[in-house]
Amino acid sequence: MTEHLLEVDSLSRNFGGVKAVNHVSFALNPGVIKAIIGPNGAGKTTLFNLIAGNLRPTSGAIRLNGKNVTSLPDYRMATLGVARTFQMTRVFHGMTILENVMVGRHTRSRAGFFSAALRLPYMRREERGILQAAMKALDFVGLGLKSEQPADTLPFREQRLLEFARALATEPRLILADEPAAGLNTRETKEVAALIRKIHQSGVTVLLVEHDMSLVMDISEEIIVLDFGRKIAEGTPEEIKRNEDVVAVYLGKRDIDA
Amino acid sequence: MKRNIYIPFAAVALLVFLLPIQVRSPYYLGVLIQVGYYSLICMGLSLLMGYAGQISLGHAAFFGLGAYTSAILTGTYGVSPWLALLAGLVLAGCVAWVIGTPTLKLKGHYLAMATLGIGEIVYIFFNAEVELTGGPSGYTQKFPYLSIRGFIFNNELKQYYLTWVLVLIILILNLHIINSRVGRALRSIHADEEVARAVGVNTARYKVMIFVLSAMYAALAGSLYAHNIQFIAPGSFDAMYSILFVTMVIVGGMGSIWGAISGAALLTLLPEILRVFHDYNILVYGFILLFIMLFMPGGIFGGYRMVWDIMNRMRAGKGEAKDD
Amino acid sequence: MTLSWGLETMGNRFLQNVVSGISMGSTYALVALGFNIIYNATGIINFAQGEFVMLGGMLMVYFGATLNFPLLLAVGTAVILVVCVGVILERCCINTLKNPSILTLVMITIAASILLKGITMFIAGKETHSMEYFSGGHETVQMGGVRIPTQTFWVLGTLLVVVSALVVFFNFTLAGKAMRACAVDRTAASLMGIPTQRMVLLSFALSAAIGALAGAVIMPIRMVDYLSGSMFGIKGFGAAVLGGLGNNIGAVVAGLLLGVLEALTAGYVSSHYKDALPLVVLLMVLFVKPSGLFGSEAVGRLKKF
Repeated sequence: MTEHLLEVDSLSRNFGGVKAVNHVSFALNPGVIKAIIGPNGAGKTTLFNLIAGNLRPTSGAIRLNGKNVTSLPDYRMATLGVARTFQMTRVFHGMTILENVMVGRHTRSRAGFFSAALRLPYMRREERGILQAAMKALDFVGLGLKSEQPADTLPFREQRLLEFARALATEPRLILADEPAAGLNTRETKEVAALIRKIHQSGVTVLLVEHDMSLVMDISEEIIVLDFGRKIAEGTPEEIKRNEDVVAVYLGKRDIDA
Repeated sequence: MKRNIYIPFAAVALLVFLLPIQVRSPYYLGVLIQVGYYSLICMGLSLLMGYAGQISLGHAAFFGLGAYTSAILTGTYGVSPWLALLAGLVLAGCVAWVIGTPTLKLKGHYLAMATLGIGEIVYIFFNAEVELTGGPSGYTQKFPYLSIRGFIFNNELKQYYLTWVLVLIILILNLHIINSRVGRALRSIHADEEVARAVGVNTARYKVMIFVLSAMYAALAGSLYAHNIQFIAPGSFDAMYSILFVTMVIVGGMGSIWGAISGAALLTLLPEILRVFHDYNILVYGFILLFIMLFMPGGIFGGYRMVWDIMNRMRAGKGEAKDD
Repeated sequence: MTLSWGLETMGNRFLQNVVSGISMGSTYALVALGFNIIYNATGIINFAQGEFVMLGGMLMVYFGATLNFPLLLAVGTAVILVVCVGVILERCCINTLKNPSILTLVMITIAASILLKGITMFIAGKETHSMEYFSGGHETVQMGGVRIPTQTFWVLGTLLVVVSALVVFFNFTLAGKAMRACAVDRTAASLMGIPTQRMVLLSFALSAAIGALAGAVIMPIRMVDYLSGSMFGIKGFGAAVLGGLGNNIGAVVAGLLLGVLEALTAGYVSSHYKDALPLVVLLMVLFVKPSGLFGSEAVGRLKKF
């Protein structure tokens, strides 16, 4: 049996009386693009935050390559190869685009206060390596020419690209993409889809949360559907399109927005 | 990036070395030496406030810990001065580590209050432990000057160079840190802590480290101060000084090393020029602090960055405003 | 015979300390309530809270002793003036900035506290001020083996009155309920038509009033000078944190507890370190359980700064 990259085992998260995530289980194999969809308030972002380490689950387990990572905080998850992009693009202001991505190399470098203060030779070598890797990530997403610009001057779409570059710089095994198409028009969404496919081809597994059905159906290999915190369906895009429960959730049922 | 640091540094270094040619009187050299001590303290505070986004309202305690450790170890126990200085650094660092580790995980006002508290506790300690510290009237035991291989730093001019060489060394070390992996991590924490964690930066640990570093800089200044003035009393390390340091940092611009030195210089030299203030310095500091916070929260060196920020925000049309 | 007399003396000494602790403790409780009200309404810690207490004390000396106003008038005038200070603070400093970071707001309240100290020193000098107890002189009352200063009853009475008034305010008046709504969710409250700006102003006015009352009533027992605000502020904050920031019941309990512990330290350990005790307690709470005795986990992380 191939080892799953990510296993989510009966994961739950309560907020007071509200069961935001209710015993959700699924597995993610390496090299797959999987999407989590569902109506507003279904618990998608909460599930994401649980996996990324921003929130602690009330019960259940998360395993990364078989290793239990359930209670690990977010910065530890990054060290283990789980990168994430945010729904509202958040670039580091006051820093250039290149510097933003160089921060992504943090877990892949070691120089500390002492070697930085004295600018030891190993630190300078490492800096050159960080710079190269960061430029590579920027070129990958197509922002290579703008590296010296301040990050806050980027238009929205390119800020999204910067987020991906920063995530890629961490050399992740898994990228958690939180609504990558949010705020983008049709053409820009197609470009993001192409980028995600390119990332996928380079060997990175992708788990995304998304509302935009065209993007989801276009690039996902597997889809999970959540509703009111529960997983109600899982399968290929074709299977999901034909699933009656899913259709009911999106079209028929009265939608209570949380 | 590298060329940018070394030019202003060279300019400052030149100024520092040449100033005594013009300034001969021991009194004014003494004032400049004080600027040196405060620069050391403020550089650390500026990193703490500008990058970790935390306020310390008790930094005078670390200043005092360095001073008293040096004085007592060399005066009462005959320890070698440089060793005593090191002990002071370690003590201040440990205290900062102990306070910082739990509080820096919490929101910023907790550290502000915790440092206010530790400042008061240390001040009470200096006053209460009369046997050890001499109590409110100060430590009156004789203790030696600092010296290197027989060269004793026993007059204003020598103290000036000793102090400012150390300031310049710390300055260059700080500049190196800012332009490194560590510096980028710190700047990312300042910009967006959650995202910094998402890329793997252990934000809590970095905040503690910068707090410890800032405490050690203050202790260094304290040791130098003790060996210079040759007499210390608790009154030099009370809450008002802590607030003075914060004012200096804010005036100069949080997060800017140059701002720290400028703020220290400005708020030390200004009262000298405007002697009138002496008794009303609290009023003036409060007023300056309020004025800056309301109208120029970026301080002098933050000013241009603030304008840049505002322009960028207008262009990007973002709703969320982020201050220093 | 001697043993029981010895125990009785020990007991009396203990109770004596407790009694003196209750006065200061009530003050800490009131200061803590002031912190909570502003924190609940705005999410910031008002570092000038202690100054409201100091000003209340100073103004009470002026109106009650120097100008010899009748008691109620003196207290009333002092409180109203301090409320004005609080309102000015809010209008000029807190309200003027567009969307400031909480760090900025905290620094502003710190600046305001320094400014208030400076202005007070400018006007009233550096000496300590005090006046006689409200019921006259420095009378004490003998209850059992313990001497209780009559002013203690005034202090306790003030605490009771304030707490009752707050209970009524927050639970039975529209304004009070509106403030509670703001504390829970500012945006939702404003969407419901609650004028959040005015709620912030009200919170400052209330805190100033409570602080001023506390200062006016403790001043005959513990003299005030231009620097007193710091101690009141930190210890009151310690009480607020110990009780759980934002939790008013906790504030009162913690304040009294802290006052008593401080007095016991002065009585049994060392009078030098008595001031250090509330600070040490504050640090202990921050290290061990920042949410305090009665607070929830969320409190430590909730607000944005």
